[in-house]
Amino acid sequence: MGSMRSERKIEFKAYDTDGDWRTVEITPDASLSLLDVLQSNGFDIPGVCGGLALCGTCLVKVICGYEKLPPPDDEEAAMLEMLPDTNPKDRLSCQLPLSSIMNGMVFRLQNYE
Amino acid sequence: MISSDICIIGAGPVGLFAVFETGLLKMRCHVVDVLPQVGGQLTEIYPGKPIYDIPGYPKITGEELVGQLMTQIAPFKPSFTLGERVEQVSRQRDETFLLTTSAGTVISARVVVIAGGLGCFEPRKPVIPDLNLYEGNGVAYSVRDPEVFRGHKVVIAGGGDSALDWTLVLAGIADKVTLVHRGNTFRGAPDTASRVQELANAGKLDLIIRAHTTHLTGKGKLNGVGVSLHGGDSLIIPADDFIPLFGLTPRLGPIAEWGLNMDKDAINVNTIDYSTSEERIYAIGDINHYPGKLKLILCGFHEAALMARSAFRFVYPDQRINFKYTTVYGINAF
Ligand SMILES: Cc1cc2nc3c(=O)[nH]c(=O)nc-3n(C[C@H](O)[C@H](O)[C@H](O)COP(=O)(O)OP(=O)(O)OC[C@H]3O[C@@H](n4cnc5c(N)ncnc54)[C@H](O)[C@@H]3O)c2cc1C
Ligand code: FES
Repeated sequence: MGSMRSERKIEFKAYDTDGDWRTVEITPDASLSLLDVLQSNGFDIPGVCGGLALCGTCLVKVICGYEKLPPPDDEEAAMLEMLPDTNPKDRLSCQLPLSSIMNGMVFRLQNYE
Repeated sequence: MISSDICIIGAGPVGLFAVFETGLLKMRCHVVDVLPQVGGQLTEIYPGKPIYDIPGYPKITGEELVGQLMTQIAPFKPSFTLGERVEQVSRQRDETFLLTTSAGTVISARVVVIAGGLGCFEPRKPVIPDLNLYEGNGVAYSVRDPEVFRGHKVVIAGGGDSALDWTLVLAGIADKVTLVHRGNTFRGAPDTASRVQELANAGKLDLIIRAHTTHLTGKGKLNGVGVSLHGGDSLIIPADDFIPLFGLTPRLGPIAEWGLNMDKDAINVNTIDYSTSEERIYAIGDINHYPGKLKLILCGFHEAALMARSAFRFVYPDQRINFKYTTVYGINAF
């Protein structure tokens, strides 16, 4: 039983703004966002608007696996465009549901500037 | 100098409701906020979003709630300083405080209530080398008086509503306006976007899309803005002024330097009355921290009521509070 559960787990890696990194092992759950998981794993990421794509403080750069993600919807794209220094591989972590496609992906928290 | 019983720092929902709770106890308030409007996060981040957990309102938008709060506190005639940041809070010999703002306004009060939320709303700044050296010498993050730009060459960066709005306003005033936008479409109000496009087609302003600003030129005083086009070219646009308009984001700001006992970005308080480590200074709403704290509007309202009862003894040291319901006592307007 235990081994079946662990088979379904995914693992991704995230760097904080100081360059320190950790891997997170978790069972996919679409009701959680990447932001939720980063926060509950002790990463210092604000997420001021609580996931409404209104603040941009949950920005992450997708270092590995960007092409696996579905493209941003209009609300996310609008917020990304509002932020002064985003690059093409930046996403709002609050808009990314935790799913199996994240297995093996690498993220970097962006400076909340 | 402005003088008041209480100075409230932050005009978010909790700062506004504190005017009501202290007003019931005959204390007068002066409220300061760095934003040009009241309402804090509600008006700045989510004016149109419905809130479902305000007691008595099954559903109310941020903007409506702020409107209702302003109506509710009107009998207590609060005074406001908006668009200025409180920089310093200093205790005087006579146990009053002097608060000084970014614009040099001085406020004297017996009690200070910090309702600073997530901190001051400040402009998001692009990462451009030496940007800060040009602040006040050609770089501005907001437009207070459009006339200042009359006859100037102005470069605006950004693609949201405020970038589009100010591009239109300044196009009629400045010698030349250039709008630099990273995307190739505008997601702001469609009317404004199409008017900007029309003026660009008519040669009344320059629109550079799929591009971003890279550096500034000038010796002390700005004279040009470097722009990199996503196609690969780059150019320098002659400019007297550069106005990056990327919206606002909250940052703790000066509160961290006031010698209060803090827990990361929040002020530790005693839950008996939400007092801080400094007598006569209280902290309520999102800015405070205590075991079990929830950053909710209704929790901030509760904190305001308890704070007001505690602050009373500093404003009226010779009087005792008689607890009365508003249903019994009514609202005694100032
Ligand atoms: C998108 C979103 C949705 C939310 N939904 C809900 C909800 O459904 N229910 C709920 O209860 N809560 C909700 N919240 C949380 C709620 O908005 C906050 O709890 C509330 O705004 C806190 O009020 P406040 O008055 O403490 O602070 P704020 O609203 O943050 O206001 C603080 C003000 O202080 C000013 N300030 C700070 N420092 C200074 C200084 N030094 N000088 C001058 N001014 C200063 C700031 O500019 C700001 O305007 C939501 C928040 C967001 C962002
Ligand atoms: S938490 Fe605000 S945009 Fe993601």
